[in-house]
Amino acid sequence: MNQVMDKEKNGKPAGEHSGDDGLQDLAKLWQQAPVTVPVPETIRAQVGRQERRMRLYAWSEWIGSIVVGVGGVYLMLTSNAGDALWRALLVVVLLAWAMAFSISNRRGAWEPLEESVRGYLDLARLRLTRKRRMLRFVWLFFVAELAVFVVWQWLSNFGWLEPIFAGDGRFAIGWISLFALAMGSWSVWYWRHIKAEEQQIEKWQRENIEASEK
Amino acid sequence: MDAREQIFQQLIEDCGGGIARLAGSYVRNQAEREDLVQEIWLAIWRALPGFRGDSSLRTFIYRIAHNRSVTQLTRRRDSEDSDVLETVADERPGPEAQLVHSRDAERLMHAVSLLPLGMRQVLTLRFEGLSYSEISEVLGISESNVAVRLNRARERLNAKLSEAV
Repeated sequence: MNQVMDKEKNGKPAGEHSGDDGLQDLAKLWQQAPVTVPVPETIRAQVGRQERRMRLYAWSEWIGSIVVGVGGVYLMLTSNAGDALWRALLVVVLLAWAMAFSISNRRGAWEPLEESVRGYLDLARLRLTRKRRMLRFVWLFFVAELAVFVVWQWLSNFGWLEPIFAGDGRFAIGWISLFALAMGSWSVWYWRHIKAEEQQIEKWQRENIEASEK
Repeated sequence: MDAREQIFQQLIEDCGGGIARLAGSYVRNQAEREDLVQEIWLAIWRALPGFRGDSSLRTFIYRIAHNRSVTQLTRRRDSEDSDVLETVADERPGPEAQLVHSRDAERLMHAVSLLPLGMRQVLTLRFEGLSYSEISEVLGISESNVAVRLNRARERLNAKLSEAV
């Protein structure tokens, strides 16, 4: 190894665009690195599996949403509640809002604008921005739902709608608080995760720019 | 087997080792490398229909490999350097000389993986036998920039290898 290194130090400067830029010995050593040489059939099978998995994720998200939507509406309409139609409408509106956000939040974040390191780093940053947007949306959605529940409950006092929460509401408030706590913990973890990714991207972007400027 | 599959298979046979080594310089352990290699080949498979022959096929796939590797870097969380390339000292057991060589190669991969991104990119491509013009095409930088980066990378690499001795 030392011999190889000594040779490298005495090699020709890399500025010379000849075949020998003093890196040939290291290149030979590099190519002897013990990597598992892939078996074409295995890789093709893996690639096939991964493509199927990606399609499955996309489909399952859509199908899941449709099932939840249709199921929710069905349950509401077949319930004995006098305001079933309004409840079904509420499910549809909330679901449509969430789906619309999901689609708009993914727009332009599938592929980089250009096949370059910069393009991919920009894409990574865009994805982080979208993750932050998603986090905000989750809380906005939660607060909006709570607001709707509160208004609904208030309107039920006038007999216009049936109350969502029976009794004094302690049970419901307990569950909502527990859910909010779990969501809060998840949000803190997710926010830190985003921050760590952001720092990493900044570091690589800096290095990429520095290396390009040198 | 259609034309796309044939080309894909040929690419794996010709560049499989090179892509795996390149991926190894971006990740810190065997499992991550396998994931990255798989992702790179998936990206190549998906990009093949869009190949218009503006560059050589080799340049095309190394560009994809590099870009995917950078994406992988951005996803990775910081972890201890100690698990850098926990590859395979005993993956290919054999005569002592071969083992020593294999360890040297691993040390080289380790040292390369510690270089800044821009230097690592030119160096790994050069090690895989790409010419300056091919590297400049892959990375989208000028040939003189490639030369400058290579020169700096070589100096840094030598320093890192000397530290390790």
